[in-house]
Amino acid sequence: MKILSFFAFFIVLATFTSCDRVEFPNKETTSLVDVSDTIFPDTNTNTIRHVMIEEFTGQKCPPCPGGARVLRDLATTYETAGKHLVVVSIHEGSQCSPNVAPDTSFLYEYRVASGNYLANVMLSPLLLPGTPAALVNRTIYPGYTDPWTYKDDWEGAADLEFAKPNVVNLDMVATYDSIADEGTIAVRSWFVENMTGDYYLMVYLLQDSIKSWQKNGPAGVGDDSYPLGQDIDNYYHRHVFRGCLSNVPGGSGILVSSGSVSSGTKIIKAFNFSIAELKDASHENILSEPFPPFIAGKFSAVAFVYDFATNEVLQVVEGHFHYE
Amino acid sequence: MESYCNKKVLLAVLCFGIAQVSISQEGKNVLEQGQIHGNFQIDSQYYITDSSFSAFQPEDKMRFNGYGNILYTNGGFTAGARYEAYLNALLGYPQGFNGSGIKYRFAQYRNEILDITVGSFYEQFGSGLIFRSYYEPLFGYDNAMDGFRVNINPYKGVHVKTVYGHNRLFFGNSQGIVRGVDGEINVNELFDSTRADAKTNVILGGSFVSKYEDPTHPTLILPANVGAWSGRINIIKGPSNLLVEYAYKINDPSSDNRFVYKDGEALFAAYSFAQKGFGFTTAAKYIDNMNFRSERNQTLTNSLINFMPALTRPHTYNLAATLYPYASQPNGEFASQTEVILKRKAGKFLGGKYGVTFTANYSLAFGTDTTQLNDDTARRLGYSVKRFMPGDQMYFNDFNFEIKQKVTDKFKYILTYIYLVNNIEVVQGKTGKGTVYTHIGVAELNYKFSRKHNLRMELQHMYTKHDQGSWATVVAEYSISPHWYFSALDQYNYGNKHEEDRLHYPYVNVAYTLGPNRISVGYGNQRAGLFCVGGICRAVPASKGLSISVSCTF
Repeated sequence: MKILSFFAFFIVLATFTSCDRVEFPNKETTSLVDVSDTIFPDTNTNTIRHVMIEEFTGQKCPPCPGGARVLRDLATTYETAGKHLVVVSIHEGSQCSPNVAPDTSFLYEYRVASGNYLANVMLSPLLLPGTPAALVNRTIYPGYTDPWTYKDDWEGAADLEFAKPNVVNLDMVATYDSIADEGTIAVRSWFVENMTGDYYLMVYLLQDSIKSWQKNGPAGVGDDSYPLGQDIDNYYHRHVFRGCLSNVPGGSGILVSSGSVSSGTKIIKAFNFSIAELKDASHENILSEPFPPFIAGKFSAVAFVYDFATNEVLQVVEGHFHYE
Repeated sequence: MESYCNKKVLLAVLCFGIAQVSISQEGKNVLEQGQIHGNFQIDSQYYITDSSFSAFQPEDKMRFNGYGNILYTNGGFTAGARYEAYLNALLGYPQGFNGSGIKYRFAQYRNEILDITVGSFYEQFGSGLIFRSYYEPLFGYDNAMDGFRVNINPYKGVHVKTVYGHNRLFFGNSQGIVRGVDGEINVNELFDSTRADAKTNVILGGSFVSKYEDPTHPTLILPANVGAWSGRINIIKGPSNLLVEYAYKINDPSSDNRFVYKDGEALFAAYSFAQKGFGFTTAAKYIDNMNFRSERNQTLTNSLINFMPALTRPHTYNLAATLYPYASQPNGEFASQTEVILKRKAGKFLGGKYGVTFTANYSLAFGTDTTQLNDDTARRLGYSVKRFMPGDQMYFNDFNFEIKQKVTDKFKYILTYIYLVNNIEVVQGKTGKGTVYTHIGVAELNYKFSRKHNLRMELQHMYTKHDQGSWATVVAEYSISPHWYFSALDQYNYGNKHEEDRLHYPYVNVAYTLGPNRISVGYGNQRAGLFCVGGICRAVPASKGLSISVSCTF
C-alpha cells in the first residue's frame, strides 16, 4: 500500500508541475544590434528619478490647451529645481479627428496606433476617461482608483514620483542620418538596486512645436497665452507623440531583464530604425500625412523602462537626435 | 447467452498478429475459463447522383464502414481489440478515417486495489470538463487514449485514476502527450463508522490534466505544457442530487481561439429531484475558452481531450434533431436547461385508463460578454470577459412540451410541441443567415394490431419563415415481431422560398432480425443536415442511394 501511495503522490506531483505559463508570447521582433559600452558615460547620470507624464489631448478639445499649459509650467518649475519632467502629448479620443479639404483648418492627423493602444487597451478595462487626462508614471495617485489623473492633481502625482528613489540609471544615444534615412537608438539600463521582475524598454518618437490649429477653451479652462474661446491657427503643439520606435502598437517593448537583477548590472539594448519603414508600416500610423519634414531639433526620443507587472515607469530619459 | 457466431473463429481473430507460442496443458485450462464477447457492425452505401438536391456519387461509387469488437475476459484479466475498416468512409463520416487496421487494442488487469490498463482505453474525469475520452461509432468520434491507465483504490471511499498517453487521431495518434490524475472521495464510505446511516451522501473530486506538445513556432513562444484542473462536489440527499464542478485551464493558444493566451474556465452545476410521479432537473454551465486539444492546430472533433456537456434536450424526431440542433460553443457560452416531468396515475385527473406523462423542457444558450483587447502584439489575451455572465447574443432557445399517454391496450401516442430558435450564423457558421425561429409539432401514434404486429407513425411539421422555410415529415414503421421491420419516411421542404428546392426526400427501409443478428436494406434520398451527439455535431451531406447494414452481437 505504501508503494501505491508513493506512486499516487508521484503522479500528482509530476502532473501538477507540468504547466507552463507564458506571459510574453511574441518572440522578439525588434532587430537588436550590438553597440559598445564606451558610447555611454562611465558614471551614473540619473542621480534622481525622472518622471513621465503621458498627457492625452486633442486638437478640437477646448480644455486641452489649459492642460498643456499646466504641464508646460510644471516642466519649467521642476527644471528650475533640478528635476526632469518628461511630457508626452498623445492625441487620442473623440476630439482629434482632422477636417478634410476643401476645409483649410485642422488638417493634421496626430493620432497614431500606439496612442490608441495606450488609451483603449493597455489599461483595459480602464479606458481613457476623456481629455485632458494623463498617466503620471502610470501609477495610481491617492484618491484615484485607476492611473488616469486630471490636471489639478498632476503636480501632486509628480511630486510623489519624484520623491521615490531611482532604481535604474538610463542613458540613451540617438543618431539619425537624414539622407540615408537610417537611425540608431542605444539605451543602457544600469540597475542601481537589487530587483526582481520583468522590465521592459520602450522608446517613443516625439515631435515638438508643431504650429497648427487648436481649439482653445474659455477663461479658467483654456490657455490664456492664446486667445480664449477661439480656434487658433498658430498654436504650438508641444512634444507630440508620433509613435513607438521600439515596437509595434501593443507590443511590450524590448525585454531588458526578467527575474532577478542585481545592483550594478548594466544592460544595453540598441536597434536601428528608418522613418520610411516606420511610415510604411501598415500597422503603425507613426508618421501620418501631412507630416512635416524631419527637422533638426524638432524631434526627440523618449526612452523609459517599466515594470511589466504593474506598468509603472521606473525611469525615463529624453534626448534629441544627433544628426549625421 | 446463446451465441450465433463461431467462437473458434473469433478466438483466432483475437490472436491475430500475436506470435505463436506453446501453451501448456495448465495454461489451456486457464484459457478455457475465459469468456469471449463482441459485436460486428457493417454499414455500406451505394451512391447515386441527384443534382436536384446536391447529392453526388463519389468516384468510388460505394463506401463501407465496418468494425468488430472482441473482448476476452478471464477473472480479473480482460483483453480486447477492435478491427476497423473504412473503405472508403461513408460520406459525412470524418474522412480522416481511411483504410483498415486494429488501432484499438488493450489488456487490463484489476483487483480490489489496482486496475491497470495498457494500450487503448476510455476514461472520464468528473463531468469531462477537462478530460473525457470516448467512442461514438455512428458519429465517427474516437479519442481513445493510447498508453497506460492505473486506477487505485488505496482506501475505502478513495479512488484515484491516472492516465498517460496519446489521444487517438484516426489511425494514428495526436502529437501531444496527455497526462492526468483524478481523485474522488466518497465521504460516507471513508467515514463509514460515523456516516454510514447519514441521509446525505457527499462525494468530493478533483482532477488535473496536462498536455505536452512541441512548442516550436516561428513567431510565438508557445507553452509546451498546458495544464487544466477541476474540482467538484456531489451531494445526494434522498431524491435530491446536486453536482457542481469548476474547471480552469491555463494559457492554451490554439487554432480554436486564434492563438490567444487567455486562460479558460468552466462552471457546471446540475440539480435534480425525483420522486414518484414527479421529476425536476435544472442545470447551468458557463464556458470560456475551454477547448482543450492534444494538437493545437486540429479542428472539428479531432484530438479533443475534454468534453463540454450539452444542456439541450436531445431531440429524436428528425426535423428537430437534424435541421437546427445545438452544438456546444466551447470558446464561450452561457447555457441552462430545466425540465419538469409529471406523471398522472391511471384513474386520476387527466390520467385516463393507463396514466399520462407530461414533460416540459426549456433550454437556452447565450454567448459570453466579451471585450476585444486588440493586443496581439503584447500579451495576446485576445479579449476580456465578464465571468459567469451571459452576453447579449443569443445562440439557442428551445421550449418543448410533450404529452405521452397509453389510451387503450392497442393505442398510445406522444404529442410534442417545440419552439426552437437557433442562431445558425454562430452555431452552424452560416454567415449572413442570422437566427432561425421555428415552431415544430409532432404526433407520434402507435397502434398494436396484435401481439406481433405493430404500426408506429410520426407526423411532424416545422413552421418557419427563415433559412429553408417550412418542412413536413411523415414516418411509418410496421414491425412484425420478432423478425421483420419495414419503414417509410418522407420529408418535404414545401415552404422553401425557391420553388425548385421544394423537394421530397423519401426513404424506405426493411430489416430482418434474428436474435442478436440484424440486417437492413434502405433506399432513398437523405437531405443534408447535422448529426449531433451530446452537443458535438458534424455536417452530413445530402446523399441518395442504396444502404445495407449488418450487425451481430455475441
